[in-house]
Amino acid sequence: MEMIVNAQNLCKSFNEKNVLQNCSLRLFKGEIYSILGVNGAGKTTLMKLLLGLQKPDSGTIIVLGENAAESNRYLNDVGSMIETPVFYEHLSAAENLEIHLSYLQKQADISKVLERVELPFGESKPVSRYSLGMRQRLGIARAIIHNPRLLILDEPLNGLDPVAIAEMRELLRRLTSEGVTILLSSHIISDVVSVSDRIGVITGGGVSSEFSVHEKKLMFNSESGLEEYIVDLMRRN
Amino acid sequence: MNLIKMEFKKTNFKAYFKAALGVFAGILAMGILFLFIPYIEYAAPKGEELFREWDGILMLISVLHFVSFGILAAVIASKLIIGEYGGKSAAVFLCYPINRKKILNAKCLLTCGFMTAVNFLSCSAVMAAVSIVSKIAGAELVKPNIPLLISIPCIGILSGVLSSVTGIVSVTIGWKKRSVPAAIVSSFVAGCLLAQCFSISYKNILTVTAGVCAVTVAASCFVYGILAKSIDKLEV
Repeated sequence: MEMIVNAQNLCKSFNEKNVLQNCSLRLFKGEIYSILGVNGAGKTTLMKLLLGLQKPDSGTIIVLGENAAESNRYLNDVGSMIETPVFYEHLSAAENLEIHLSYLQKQADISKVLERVELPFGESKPVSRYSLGMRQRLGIARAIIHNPRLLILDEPLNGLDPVAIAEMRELLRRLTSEGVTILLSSHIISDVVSVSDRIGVITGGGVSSEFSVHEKKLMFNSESGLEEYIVDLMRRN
Repeated sequence: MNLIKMEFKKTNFKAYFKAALGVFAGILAMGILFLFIPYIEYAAPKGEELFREWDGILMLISVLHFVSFGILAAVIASKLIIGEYGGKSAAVFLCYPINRKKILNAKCLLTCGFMTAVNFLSCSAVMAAVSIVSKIAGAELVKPNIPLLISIPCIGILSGVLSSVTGIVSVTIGWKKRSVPAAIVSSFVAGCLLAQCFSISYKNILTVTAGVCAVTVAASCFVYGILAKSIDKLEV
């Protein structure tokens, strides 16, 4: 199976506080990998390292076959949504996506992607008047519009209503069937369990346990049992 | 060029145009007021001389231009630089595989271009309006000579460069604190300090402005280097 991300022994500290210590992560093509951990465990830091937003103190990151320390060209094939998505507030959704595409020097059908996340196309309403859920959808649209091979989504289900969450799950599944690899983090364990292929739990600055959701589901026979098991793993820090 | 176009597109320039119009109106009002200062009963003799010559009025108007537009330049550059790299949008913005220095250059060039154009238009329009008012009101000013008429657009452009440079230097100071108000206060202080240089001689206003401009641009290149380095190494 093609390896999309290979991060080895990553260390990162802020003000002498070690957030990541020898953290390693491997992602394979077409899978949904979820990172779970308590607040401050290092989930967002790990994602930021993969996106080149932060530099690791030590360790190596290879994304889509490129060493992140040497080049950032791989970012052309990566879509991301880190924390709350931010937009140019006075512009419409389509204009925001146009700017995004211009920076990446790519072309795409904006109406199609807006339709995919169920946002209206051709509307001149500025993003400043969007609800939290609409912003989240637009953030997803921005992450996927350029057909990335890797999607990094930090809390993508925040602010979405139950129907939208179900639709988002379907969208993520469809993307993986198209060969997209997805790395996501969420606090809602039930959502993570229902959508992920593999889950990694971050404790003590690294991925302390990693397992296939399918195997564990068979083992526990119920999703609630698996959820309890995950909470227990997160508590072990 | 593409990057500058994109910066222009994503920035809400409507508000800045309105602000520039407000500044223009304020300076125009001040310019007209200058015409009538010699007629005030207790005007100081030296001051009176300054307001009776076009060189003096042009000097005052150009100082007002670069100080007030310098503050506007700091506001625009802060929005473009501190707002984008210092806020939450940095997480999106820095994910693009584009050289960060190129984007920063585009932001600074856009600020400089806008400020220079606005200063040029405003300075020329204010001087034209003040001369029309002086004719209508019959204000007795020393007749303007040809070199002075030529120097008006030049001073408009130089004021624009000075405003932009003041704005960018101030943003570097504001960037250290990640604070837009710090940048704006710095631009006001820098503008006031630079304005002192114009008291050297108002008779050679073009030479003085060009000299101040050259020194300030050289200093700002050094300061810009610090800003560019800091943004190049920025982690969010």
